[in-house]
This record gives sequence, structure tokens and C-alpha cells, in this order.
Amino acid sequence: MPRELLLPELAESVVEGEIVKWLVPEGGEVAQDQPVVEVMTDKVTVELPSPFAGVLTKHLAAEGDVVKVHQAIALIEEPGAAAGAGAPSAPPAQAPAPGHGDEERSIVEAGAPAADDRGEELSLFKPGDAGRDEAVHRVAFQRPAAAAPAAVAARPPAPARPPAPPTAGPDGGPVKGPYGRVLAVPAARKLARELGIDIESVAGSGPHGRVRVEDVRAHAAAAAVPGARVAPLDHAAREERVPVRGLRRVIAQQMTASHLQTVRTLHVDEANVSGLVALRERLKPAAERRGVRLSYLPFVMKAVVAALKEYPALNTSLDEEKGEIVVKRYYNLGMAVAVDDGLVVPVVKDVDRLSIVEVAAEVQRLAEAARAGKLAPDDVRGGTFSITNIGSLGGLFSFPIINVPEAAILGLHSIKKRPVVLPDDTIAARWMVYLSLSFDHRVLDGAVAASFTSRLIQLLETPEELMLDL
Amino acid sequence: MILQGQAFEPFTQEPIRLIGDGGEWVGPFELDLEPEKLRGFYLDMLLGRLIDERMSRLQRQGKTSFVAPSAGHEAAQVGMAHALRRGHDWLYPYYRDVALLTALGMPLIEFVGQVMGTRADPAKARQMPYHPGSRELNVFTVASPIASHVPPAVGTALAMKLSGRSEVVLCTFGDGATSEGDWHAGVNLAGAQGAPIVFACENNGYAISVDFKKQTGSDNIAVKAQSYGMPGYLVDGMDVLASYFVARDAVERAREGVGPSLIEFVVYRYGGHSSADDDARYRPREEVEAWRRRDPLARYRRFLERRDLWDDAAEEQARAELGTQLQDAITRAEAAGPAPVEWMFDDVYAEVPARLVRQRRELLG
Amino acid sequence: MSVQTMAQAIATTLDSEMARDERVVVIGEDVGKRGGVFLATDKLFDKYGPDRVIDSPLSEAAIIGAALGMAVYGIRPVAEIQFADYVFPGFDQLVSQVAKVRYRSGGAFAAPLVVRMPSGGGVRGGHHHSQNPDAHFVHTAGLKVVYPSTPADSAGLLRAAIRDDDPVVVMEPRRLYRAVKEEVPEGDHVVAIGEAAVRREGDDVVLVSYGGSMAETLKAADALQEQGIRPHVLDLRSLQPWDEDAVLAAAARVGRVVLVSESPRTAGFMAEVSATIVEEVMDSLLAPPLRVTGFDTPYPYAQDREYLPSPNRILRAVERVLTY
Repeated sequence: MPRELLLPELAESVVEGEIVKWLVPEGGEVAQDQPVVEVMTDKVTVELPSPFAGVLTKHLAAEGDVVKVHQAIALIEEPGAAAGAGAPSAPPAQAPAPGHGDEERSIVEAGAPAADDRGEELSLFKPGDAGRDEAVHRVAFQRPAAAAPAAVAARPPAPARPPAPPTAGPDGGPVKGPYGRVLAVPAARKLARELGIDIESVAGSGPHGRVRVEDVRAHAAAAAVPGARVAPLDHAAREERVPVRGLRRVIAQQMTASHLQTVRTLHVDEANVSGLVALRERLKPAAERRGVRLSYLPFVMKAVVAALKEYPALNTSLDEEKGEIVVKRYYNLGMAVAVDDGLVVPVVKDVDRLSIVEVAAEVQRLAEAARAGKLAPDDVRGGTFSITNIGSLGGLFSFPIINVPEAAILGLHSIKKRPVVLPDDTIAARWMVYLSLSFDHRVLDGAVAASFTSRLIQLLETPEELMLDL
Repeated sequence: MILQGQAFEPFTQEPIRLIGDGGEWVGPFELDLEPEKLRGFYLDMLLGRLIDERMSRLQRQGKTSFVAPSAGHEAAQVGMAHALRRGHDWLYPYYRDVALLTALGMPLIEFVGQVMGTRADPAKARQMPYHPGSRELNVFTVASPIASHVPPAVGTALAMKLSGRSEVVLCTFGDGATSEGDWHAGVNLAGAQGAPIVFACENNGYAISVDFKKQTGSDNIAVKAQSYGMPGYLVDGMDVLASYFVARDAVERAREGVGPSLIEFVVYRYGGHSSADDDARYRPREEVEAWRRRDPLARYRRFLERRDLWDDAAEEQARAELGTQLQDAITRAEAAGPAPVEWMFDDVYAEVPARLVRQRRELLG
Repeated sequence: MSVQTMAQAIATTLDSEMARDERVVVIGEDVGKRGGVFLATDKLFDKYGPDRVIDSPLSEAAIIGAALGMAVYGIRPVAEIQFADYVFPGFDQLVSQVAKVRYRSGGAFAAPLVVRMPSGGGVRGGHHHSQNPDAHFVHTAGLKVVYPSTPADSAGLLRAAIRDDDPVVVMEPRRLYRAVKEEVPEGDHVVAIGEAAVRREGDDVVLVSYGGSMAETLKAADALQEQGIRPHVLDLRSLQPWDEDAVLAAAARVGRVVLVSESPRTAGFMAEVSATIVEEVMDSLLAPPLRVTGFDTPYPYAQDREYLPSPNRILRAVERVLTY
């Protein structure tokens, strides 16, 4: 069996060579180390000596041909092997890389070569080495059924830094990133995987709709209700889909955040505000002469501030990161205002420094601006305590949602005449109002909340006491 | 023996030579070496030449990737080898010092194993060919960056001064090395400290293609020794006896504590810089041919024949024996097999760090 | 247009820039008569003479230091360091002088020079002919670093580097010097420094690489495509500055990234890319960015090919991010 003469790698970075001149013709005898051919590369021109003795039976490349390194250029028949006289040694010139399971393992193994091997087979410069450069590994990857075509369509045209994450999701579900996937912290993704939840279906509470670990937990808890996963009925034709955008989206996010973060606890009480009703009636004309509409809210706000001064725990925020309760010595009261799309809570700043009529004026200004959609960003920031006053629409009392990061919110309901039992056990009609105080039980406890409420009620029932701090 | 009758002047205009072109002794003193020793020089040079031819052939057969031809340097290298105390003195060689190493006693299989990158290489096939070393012979492992071994050579010499065991360092390099900052830093330190070191420049007139005149404005290398406070000797490096005697003189002076020297051996490199070099681009054929006529082996053979110490039969026999030894070393080196892949992760540190254990696992599964 | 190898493209670009601008000068070991040990400066000596194609003595400190001196005077030198492994004797000049001259002089002096060096392994060169010291340069403020992988890019980036007013280290993948021939545009072909090239478009995984490793990365990409997986392949082409926008956009869009570099792993350039990806687009990632790199050893002679990131190692990393 003939052996192949290969073009060796003659110098670094040389990948090919040109056959300049055959020094031994086909059929010619060759001694070991005898120069066989002249080869030119652009680094060097050399004569190649034969590694073995025998007869050069065939030129595999012609003069002028350009041959790749490790390519066979001639066949040399060794003496004795041609007759096939049972010579055990005549291994093929290139043994293919031994078939090991791991294609990364070098083809050359430690240890002694086969007894009949003259050692040339183990030369480091055999072409078999190229095997380890081939990409043979099969990647074990099952593409999920609901595949990526959507992502392909969403690809932006030019390479650019990813656009700032959106503030609104394109559809009713969780907020998608700029490329059609939710933004989620890796720990959340891991938890979702562990719980078998599709992360794309989880609503995120973080900025830009980022899904956090607690969101995955909340989602899992909701889904754990037995029967919740019933096969959906097909009512699509009788449904209308309204995208969650703008204010609705923001409200949804903030309500979720508040709901998830605070330990909301309700305390309800009632106040006899007959005195306050009469007082306001008397003062209305004077206020109107100053161009101010006088509602109950300014009185309530001043009373709330007085009570907050005595029970500062309700005028705080919890800094979770630092593990600190921030006790605020300023009093910015938020007031919930219903607008077309939903609810906004503009803030009256430094209520303790304003007179009742100044508070009334500010309340009026903010309410008008809110309804006209003209609130400035500063108008809705910096609140320390909020009041929600939806009594006009009905209802007895409620469980308002705390305007995080505040610690409490006061719900004020309709002032109505109700029968009350007087000290002498007679029944009379008085102006009554229910107060619903939601507070964050992480930061303060029921006793404080109740005391605050009682004090507030005291001030509402005897509003003239406010004059003492005029 | 050494200090008396010291015949060598530093900073000569002409290279020091002891053998004339026709092989006649032209030295100013009585030659007192035994015939065996004289023949030994020739055998060592002949082995160096045979290795050179054989390794180039191996490269063209694809059995090694790189060769640094040393034909033309044999006389200087063999002369230096015999000036050292084997296993006692230290050698900081460069990549062209084939004959120097084999004459010093490096086993052929180790040298060839390193060139072929097999398990026969005591350095575990870590380095590219022609970068040998030997712990037993105190031969520091060769590094490619030119002249980077010079400051370390001086450091070893300083340590020898402390130990008081009368050891000497021989540090060899080519002409190009004398332009590197490291060379000047090392030689200067040796001079300042009086270190027991001999610097030997095998000046073949080329650093790859850059000829000597572009390498330096100095007349020769030897004169540079003046700047560093040591004697510089200009020697005909194609003359093995001149090389031997001057080297021996310098080595023994260093051993006596007299201080360092610089020797410039004027040689010529018959081959290219390496197997990747095509010297026809920068040297005229005539120049190479002219130097071929001054082949150190031919000249020394004439010297031996004049003294009836050599003849054709001896030549034939020597070539056959050395050729067989060499072939045997090549066969055994090849048969030792390639270095296992796992060896890549050892010897980075004394202990294999955890991250390399992980990387080894990543590669090997 | 003409079909050239990378080595030829470099020589041609130097020729055209030297013809265009008489301030351009080449300096290095064996760059003159010899035409460079890789022929990257072939025939320039005959054309422009010894004053503009300078055969330097064997001293990298002299080469780089002198290049700085020339640049400060008004020349546009292109210095060659014969092998990246030999930059270290000149490293002090590069770091202490070249990189800092504009900064420490308040802009009074600048160093518009180029330092070219054959870099990377895969040429059976062992420790001192295979190193890829890219991280050292990127880590040195004041230097720009480019690393082409094709003949056309090599021409375009070299031209950009010569015309740049800052010092640019041009690392050339020596094992690709002759491996590929392609069309190289003639004339004022410039590749802007800091721009990556998209070599393949895809959505399943992003492969990022540069220099010699582009060859293995593209092989892996081809294998992936055969297996029905669509890789997005980025060739960085520049390391300082590098194209953050392109990488981050792709990483955010696809969510899975494999970073391939033959330099040693620890504190290598891809650590920088990985950290940036995590800092900027973490929420879009579906798996951590994975690096496939050279090992933390000196470059070994015998295990020349095993050391380099192979297509199969890349494929295995792709598998890990796809199945994360």
C-alpha cells in the first residue's frame, strides 16, 4: 500500500505552497531523506526530503499547482509492502482520528505506540489534527412551541443601544421590553422556572414593569387557588378589549405596589360633625368674598395635621433598604381627586403653615388643575399623609389603599344625618360621618392608629379648638 | 596555568586566531593539549553540523515545526563548551547554541525530544523547538525574547559570588541582542558588581535580515565592554582553538574573582535565521559562498590532518557513528510519543489552582 | 478591488498611505530589505528608501520610543513589533510615554502613531510567538486598540489608525495572515475604529468575537445553522473603543450571549464585555453571558490547538445558554 507524501507546514502562518519542480519522476526510486520536490511558499523556497524510501509511483500535483498544507502531493510505494507480503506494518498514512466519544480530546493518547509503528504516525503534524477543529458537537436544544417569529418581526432596523424601556405595555398583559419580552431580574426568572410559571405572564411591580421575585410569588399565590385554572370558555366575541395605557396603567402599577408592600390594616370610626357643618355654613360667605370655595376638606386637613403632630407615627415612611422609619416633621397632605381616567392625588404642601382659607385656595387650585389634566409633577410628589374623600358618591366606609411610601390614608365619607343616642338617652338627628383609616401595620400599631383617630374626631367635633393653634 | 602566560589582548583591531587558513598553528604559545582532546573538538563540531542538517530535514518532513540553523557557529560554541566545568558552571544560552549544548553533555535524545515536542523533552514539550534547558547541566531554559536572559544570568553570577563555590556563568547571545535594553542593564550590573560571568556574543553579522552596520554604530561588539568596565575580546569564531583558549582564559579569570569579560566570536550563519526565513532576500549568494570557504570544520580538519590526527577513514567512521547516534536519538524521541493534553495545565504554579482544575475539566470532560 | 491575503492587504495599505502622505514612515526590525518577516512591509523599502522604511536595531524600546519622538515632531510613524510577544521591552515606552503624552501635556503634545504587531496563537509558536496581550493595551487609558479578522478590515482599520490623531495598537491575527484571500477595496477604504461588523443575522444566540477566533466562531455558527439554530455573529473589530451599542442591542434583543476570545480567561477583554452586558441589559437576559477563552496558562507549544477556543467548545457554551 503506498504512503502519502504530505506538504508540511513549512513556517508559521503558511497555509499553502506551490510545486516548483519535481526532482524525482513518477516511477523513480527514492531514498530516505532524498530531496523529492521543490516547493515555494511566500516565506521560503525549499526542497522537501522524502521521509521514507521506496518508489515514487505517482505525482498527485503538477508543477505550478498550488497545494494546501497537509495535502498529499505524491505516493511512495515502500519496498516489500507492495507485494502485500503479509507485512503487519503498513498503516495508512493518515489514520483518522481515533473515534473517541468526546471530539474535544486530543487524538493523541498517552502511552507507547503500537509495536509495529515506526513512530511517524504519532507525529504531531499529521493532518488528523484538523479533526479537532471541526464543529461536530450537536447542540441539545428543543425550540419551545410558541416560537420567536414575533421577536423577528419586532427587530429594530439598525443596531443601536436598546431604547429606554417603555412606560406602557402594548397589550393587556405585563409590560414587555423593547423586543417583546418582559424585563425580569434573573432571580425572578429562576423562581418562575422552578415554579413552572411562564414569566411572560407575570405582572411586574418594578420600574418599567420589571418583574421581581415577589411578583412571581404573588402570581404563584394567585394561581394556587383551586379551580382558578379552569379551561377558559370561549366568550371572545362578546368581549371588548381595552388597552391598559396611561393613567390607568400607572394606577394599576401603584395599587399593586402598595398592596404588595404594605400591611394594610383598617380602623373605622365615626364623628359627630354637626358643629363643623354649622361652622362652615357661617364662614362660607366670608370665604367666597375672598374668591375661595370653602369645603370641609380644609378643616379636616388642619385637624389631621394637629392630630399628626400628636401622633407622628402616622406621618412617616418606611425605608426598607436601610431598615429605618423616616419620621417627617413636615406636613404635605395628599387629596384624592377623581378625574376622567381615574384618580390622582395632588399634594397640598406644608399644611401646618397655611391658614384654612389658604388651604382651601390650594385645594381648589389643585382640584381644578387635576380635572383639567394640568397638574405639574411637583404637585403630586412629596406627600406625607393622604386623604381620600369620595363620600359624595355614596358608601358607608371603605378600606382605602395607602399612597406609598406614606404610612396611612384617611378615607372621609359622606356627611349624613343619622340618628344618635344623646347623653340623656334620647335619640336625635345629627350630622355624622364615618372615617376609614388604613394604616401600614409594619410601621405602626392599632393602638396608635386608634388614638390618632380619636384625637382627630375630637377636633372635628369641636373645631373651635383649632383656634388655639392659630 | 591560566593567569601566567596569558596571551590575549582585549580590544584588538583584528580577531584573535590561533589556526591559520591552511590549518597551521599560529598561536604565540606552545599548544599543550592531548590528541584525544584535539580530536574531541572536531567530533563535537561534526555532531553539531550533523544535527543542524538533520533537524532541517526533519522540518521539511513535517516532523518539527521550526529550526534555528547553527551551521557556521560550531567552532565558537564547542570552544566555549570545553572552557566550562560541566555540571558545575552555569550556562545561559540562546536558541542557536546547539553544538554548545551537545558538547557540554546534553543527551541527544533530550535535545531532539525538545525539537520534536515529544515526551522525551524534559521540559514537557512546553516550548517551541530550539528552546532547551537542563537542570542537571545547569543550563537555564531558553526564552525567545532576545536578551531577556542577560539580567537573570547576572543574577545567578551574583548568587555565585555569595556562595563561594568558584562557579562561573557563561551567557551567550547574538549580535542583535546587544541592542536591547535588557542587555545593557545586565552587562552594566555585572560590571558594577564584578560578577563572575563571561558574556559571549556569537556575532554572525545579521539579526534576521538586519546587518551589523544597522545594528550599532560601534566598530564591533567587543569595544562595548569598555563602557561597562570589563575587557572585551575580539575572536575569530571560526577557529575552535582560539575560541577555546580565550573562553577558558575569561572563565578562569572570573572564577578567580577578577571579574566579568565580554568575548565577541566573529562567525557566520550559513543558513537563514530560522526555517521561516528566506535569506536570499537580504544576503548575496557570493557572500555566503565566501564564508563557506572558511568553514570552521574544514579548517580544523586541515589542522588535525597536519598533525596526523585525522584522515578520510576517520572522517567516514566518525560520520557513521555520530549519524547512528543521532538517528537513534531521533527514533527514540519520536517513539516517546506526544505530550498529553492534560500537561497543559501543570506547572503554571507549584500547585494547580482550582480555576485551572475547572478549566482542565472543561476541556477534557 | 483586488483579491489579497491579509499580509498583502497590509503592505498595499502602507504603500498607498505612504504615497498619499509623505509624513508616513515605517520603522521596525527587518521591515526594510527583508520586507518584514511576514512580508507585511514587502517592497516598501525599494519604493521609499531607508529614510522612510527604517530597519531598526533589535530594541522594541527604541522602536516605540523613537516612533513617539517622530510623532511628536510631526511624522506619522507606523512601528512594527515583530511579534506581539516582544512588545514587552517596549511596553514602558508605550504605557509611560505614548499613552500619556497628550494627557500630561494638556494637549500640547500628541502621539498620532501606529504600533502593529502579529498577535495570537495557532502557529505552533509556543509561549513567545503566540501571545495575545490585548487586555494590557485596552487597560491602558490613552491607547486605542483594533483587531481585524479579514484582509479588507485589516486594510480599512490600518488606514483609519494611520489617520487617527491618537496612538493605535493594531493587533493582527498572525495565523490568518495568509489563510484567507478576499476582495480588498482600493482607494480610500476606511473602517471606522469602534464599529463592529455583523457577520451573520439571527435571533437565537449572539456570538461575539474578534481576530483569529472569528474563524472558529464562524465555523460554530455554520454548524448551528445546520442544526436549525440561528446565531447572530458580531465581529468586534475594535477593542478600545468597542461597539457597546451593537453588542448591547443584540444582547437585549436575543437574551443569550457567548463571548469568544483566545486570550487567557482571567481578567481578559471578554470579562469587560460580559460585565457591561450585565450592568446595562440584565433584565433582558435569559442566561448569563458565557465566555469561551484561552486557558490561564502560558501558551503551550504541544497543545497549540487545544488551547484555542475550538468550534466544539463554542457549541457547548451555546448549548448551555440555550438550555439555561
